[in-house]
Amino acid sequence: MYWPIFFFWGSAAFALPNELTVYTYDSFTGAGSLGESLSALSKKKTGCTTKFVPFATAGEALSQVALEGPKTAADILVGVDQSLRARADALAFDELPPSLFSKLQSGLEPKASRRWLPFDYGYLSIVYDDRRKDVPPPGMTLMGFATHPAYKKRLVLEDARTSSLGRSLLTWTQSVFPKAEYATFWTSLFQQVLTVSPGWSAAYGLFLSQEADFVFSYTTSPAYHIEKELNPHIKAMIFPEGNFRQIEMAGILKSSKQKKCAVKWLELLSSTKIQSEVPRRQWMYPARSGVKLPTSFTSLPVPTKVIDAPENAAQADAELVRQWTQFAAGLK
Amino acid sequence: MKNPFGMLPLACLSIAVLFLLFAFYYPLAVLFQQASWPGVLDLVRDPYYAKVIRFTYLQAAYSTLLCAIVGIPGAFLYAEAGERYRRFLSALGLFPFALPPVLLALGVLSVWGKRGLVAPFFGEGYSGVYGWTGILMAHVIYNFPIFIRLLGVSLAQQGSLEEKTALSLGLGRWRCFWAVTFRKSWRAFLSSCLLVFVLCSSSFLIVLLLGGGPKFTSIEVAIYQAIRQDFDLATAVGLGVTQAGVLVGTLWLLGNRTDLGGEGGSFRYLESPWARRFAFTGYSALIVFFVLLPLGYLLARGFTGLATHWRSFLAPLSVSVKLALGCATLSTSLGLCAAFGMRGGYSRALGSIAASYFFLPLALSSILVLLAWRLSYPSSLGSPFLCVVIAQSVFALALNIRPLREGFARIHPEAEKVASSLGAGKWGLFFWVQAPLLRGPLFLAMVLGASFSLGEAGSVLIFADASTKNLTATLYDAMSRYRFDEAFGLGSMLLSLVVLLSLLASALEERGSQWKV
Amino acid sequence: MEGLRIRGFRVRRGSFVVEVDDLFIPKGSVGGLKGRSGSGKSTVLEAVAGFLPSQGEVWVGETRVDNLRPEKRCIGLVFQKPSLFPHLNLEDNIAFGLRVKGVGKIERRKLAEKWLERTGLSGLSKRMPREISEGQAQRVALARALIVQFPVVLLDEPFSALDEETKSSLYSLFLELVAETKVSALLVSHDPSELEFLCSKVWFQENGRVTSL
Repeated sequence: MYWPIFFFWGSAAFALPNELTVYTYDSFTGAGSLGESLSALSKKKTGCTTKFVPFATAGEALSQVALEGPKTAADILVGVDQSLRARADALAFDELPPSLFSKLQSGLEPKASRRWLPFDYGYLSIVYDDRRKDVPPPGMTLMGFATHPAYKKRLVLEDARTSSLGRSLLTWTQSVFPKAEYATFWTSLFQQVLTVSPGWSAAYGLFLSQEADFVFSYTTSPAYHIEKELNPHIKAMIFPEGNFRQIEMAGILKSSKQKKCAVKWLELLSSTKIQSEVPRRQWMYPARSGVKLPTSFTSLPVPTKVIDAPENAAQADAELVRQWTQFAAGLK
Repeated sequence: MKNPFGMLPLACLSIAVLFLLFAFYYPLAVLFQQASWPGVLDLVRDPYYAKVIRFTYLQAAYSTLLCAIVGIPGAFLYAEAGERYRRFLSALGLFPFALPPVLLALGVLSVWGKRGLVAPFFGEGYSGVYGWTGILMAHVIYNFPIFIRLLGVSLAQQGSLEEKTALSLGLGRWRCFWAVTFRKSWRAFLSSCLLVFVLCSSSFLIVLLLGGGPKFTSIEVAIYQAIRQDFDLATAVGLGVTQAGVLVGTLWLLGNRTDLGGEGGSFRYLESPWARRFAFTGYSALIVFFVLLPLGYLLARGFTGLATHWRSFLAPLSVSVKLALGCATLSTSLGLCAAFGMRGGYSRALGSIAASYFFLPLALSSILVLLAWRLSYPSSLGSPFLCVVIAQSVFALALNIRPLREGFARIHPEAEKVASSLGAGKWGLFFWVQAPLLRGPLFLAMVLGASFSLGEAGSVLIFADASTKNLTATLYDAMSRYRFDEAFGLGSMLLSLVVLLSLLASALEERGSQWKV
Repeated sequence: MEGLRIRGFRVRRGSFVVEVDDLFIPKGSVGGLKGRSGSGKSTVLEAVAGFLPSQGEVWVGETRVDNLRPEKRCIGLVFQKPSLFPHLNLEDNIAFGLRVKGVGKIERRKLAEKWLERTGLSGLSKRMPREISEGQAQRVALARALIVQFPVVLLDEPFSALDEETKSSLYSLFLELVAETKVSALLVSHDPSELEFLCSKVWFQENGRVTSL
C-alpha cells in the first residue's frame, strides 16, 4: 500500500538520524518566531537538528499525533495548553526528568505527573482601547462587565467550538462561578457579544478595526502595542474574580527514538537564553523564574488573583460546549 | 463512429482520473478507514447533527437563490455589454477564490458592520449585519460573480436567431429572455448554481464571523470542532460522507450535459441608449456599493503596511507567483485531459459519476482533505513545492473542468469533419482546430487555477517549507502574531495581484475574442 | 475507371439502415442523390467520407478507400452550413487543406488568393468568417474543399439555406469549378429543380435503398 510514495516521496520512515521532529502550531515557527531561535541553537546545544511540522493550531497537532498512533513521526509536541491536556494525557507521552522543572516559577510546577514542561504562560483577559468610549473602571468584575448595559454588542469572543482560547474561557468561568451564576454569566455575556470568531486572530482583527471595542485576549497583548507601535492605549482588564492563567507546555513522545536529544531540546527551551526571548516572540510570560522582562512587560498590571485549571479535572467536554451554544441560542 | 482519436480520449481521461486517485481518493480512503463506522452511523440518529445538516444546506440554498437574483442581471448585462464593461465584470469573478475570507469579512464589515460606512445612516441602534443577513450578504458578495463568469459568458455566445424568431412571433421581450435566451443557457445556469451552492455549503469563517454567534453551526464548523477539538474522527467522517452524498445527489438531479451554444454574438435586448446607460449605471452602483467599497477599504488599509514592509513581501510574492503558475499549468493540463476524455456521449449515470468524481474535492470539507493528506503523506522530502502544486491542483481541477468541457462542446463537429476530410489527423485536428478554438476556456481555466492558488494556504501549511510560503500563508502568519498592518499590506498585494491577473487574462482573451464563436 | 464508385454499400445508424447497390460518378461530373428529409442522405455521405462505420466498397479512382481513415480518403466535404473555422480568416480557411499537406506559406497564399478571386471574393482574404454573408461563406467552403484537388467531393445540401439569387450565381460557379478541377461530385438535395439543373445523373433514396431510375 505504499505506492503513492513514488509520487509524493514522503514518509516518516525517511526521518534523518539526529533530527528531531517537532509538531507545533504555525506561529511557533517561521521568521521572527521562538522556533527560529530554537532551530538556530539546536545543533550546537542538543546535537540534533530541528525539523518543525507546523499545524494551524496546537489542537490539530495533537490530533495528528493521536491519529498517527505509535508510528508517529513526532518526537516532541509543543503548544499543549490546559484545555488540551486531558486529551494529551491519554496519549503516550514520557515522564520528564525532574531537573527540567527545577527553575520554573512557583505555581507552574506540576502537581501530579511530570509529562508536560511549561515554557510560557499568559493571563486571559478582556482587552480594550482606552480612547474609545465607556472605558471600564478599575475593579470591574467579570459579572459586572457581562451585565453592564453600556457594553451591549461590543465584545468579540472566540468560539468555544473551534478555538482552544474559547474553551479556556469556559474553564475559566466554570472555576470562577458557581453553577447557577455560570449560566447567568454566559446568558448575560452573550448580550454583550457582537459576534464570535473561529480563532484569536480574526477576533483581534475585528477589535483593531474598531468593529468591536472589547476582545478576549491576554493581559500581555498591550505589550505588543507598547513595544512595536509605541501605543499605550491598549489595556487589559484585571478582574477581582481572578484572571485565568493559560500555560503552554511541551512533551516528549514515548515512541521517540531520539530521547536524549529531545530532553536536551526541552532543556534548551527552558534555558535563560530562549526564555528571555519568549516575551518579544510569543508575547507571553516566560515560565522560567528569574528571567529579565522587557519594560513593555514590567509596566503591565498583573492579576490580583490567578485562576489555574484544576490539573486532573476533565477539560471542557463536548457537553459543556453544547450547553454554551444554547446560552447563545436563547437570545435574539 | 470512427473516432479520429481512437483510444486517446480514454487515455487522457485516465491520466486525470489517476491523478485524483493518487492525490485525493487514496489519502481520503486512508483517513476514512481509520474512522469507527458504528460511530459514523450514530450520527444519523443524532438530532443535533440533523439540525446542523439542515441549517447548512438551507443557508446554502438561500445564498444560491440570492446569488442568482443578483447574478442573473449581471450575466444579462455581461452579454449586452461592450468589451470594457465585460472586462470589469469578469475581473470580479476572480476575487472569491483569491481573497482569504478573513480579509473579505473584515472588508464587508468595514462597510456594513456596526462601525461601518453605512452605520451612520441607520442610527444609534444599528449593530451590524450579523446573523442571517450577514451570512447571506457575504455569500452573495463573495459568489454572485460566479454567475457572471459562467452564465454571462454562455449567454453572450448563444446567437440570436431564436430570439428573432420568437419576437417575430409576437413574444414580448421580457418573456423572450426567460423562455428563449435564458433557456438556451440553462446548463450554464445550473452549473453556476451548483458551484455557488457547494461553496456556500462548505463556508466556514463567514458563517461564524458574520453569523454572529454559536446560534448557527454549519457542517464545516462541526467537522472542525470534531477534528481539532474533540478528536472525533467518526463524526467528521460521517459529516464528510453526508457532504459527498449531497453532491452526488445534486449532480444526478442536474444531469451532466453542457450548453451547445449558437453562432454569432448574442441578441441585444437593450436598444435605446438611455435604457442601456440606466441599466449599466444601476448595476455598477450596486457593485461599487457591495463589492468595490469593501475591497477599496482593504486596499486603503493595507497601504501603510505595504509601504513599510514591501521588501519583506517580495519573497512570498515570488513564491505565490511560482505556485500560481504551477497550479494553473498542472490543473489546466489535467482539466484538458479530463474534458477531452469526457467529450463522448455517456449515459446519465456514468456522466454524473464522472462529474462527481472530479467535483468532490471542492464539495468535501477542506479540513478533512487536509487531514487526509497529513496522514498519507506525513512529510515531503522530495519537493514540497511540487506537493503544494499537486494539492492545489486537486481543487483547481474541480473548478476548471466545467468551462473546459463547455469549450469542447462549442467546437462544431462539422468543422472538425471538414478538417479531417482535408487530411488533418488527430494532432492536426488538435493543434489547428481544437486548441485555437479552446483558447478562451483555456485562459479561463488558467486564471481560475492561478487565483485559487493565490488564496490557498492550507496545503502550504502541510508541506511547509521556505519554498512554499506564499502571500496568503504569510498573511495568516502575520495575523497570528499581532502584525495586522503587515497582514493588510499583504492583503493589498494579493488584491493587486488578482487585478493584474484579470487584466492580463482579459487582454489575452480579447486577442482571442475575434474568433469567439 | 476514374471517378467515385460505391458498391454493395450498407450503413447503419441506430435502428435504420441505408443500402447503396451501385453508384458511379465519372470524373468531372456531378451526381445527385435525392430523398425526403430524414431519409438518411446525410448518413450515406458521412459514411462515404469515413465518419460512420459501413460495409461494402468505396472506390476513389483505382483506390479502394472504405478501410481508410477519413483523413486518408481524399474526399472533400461541403455541408449545408458553411462550417468555416471561426478562428481563421478566409485565406487561411481556404488554405487549411494545403497547410495540412505541408505546402509552404508563400505557395499557400498564392493559391488561396487565386481561389478567392475565382470564387468572386478577392480583397476579402483577411476577413473573419463572422464578417461575411452566408452566400460568401458557402463560396469559401466550396473553395476550401476544391483547392486541395481531391478527386471526389461530397456536398450535403450546400445551397439550400441560400436565397434564389445567391443560389443561381453559385450554381454556375459550382459547375464551372467541377469542370475545371475534374472532380467527381456527389450532391445531396431535396430540391428536384436543383438536381435537374446541376446533375448528369440522379439517384433516389427511398425505404433505405439508393437506386437509380
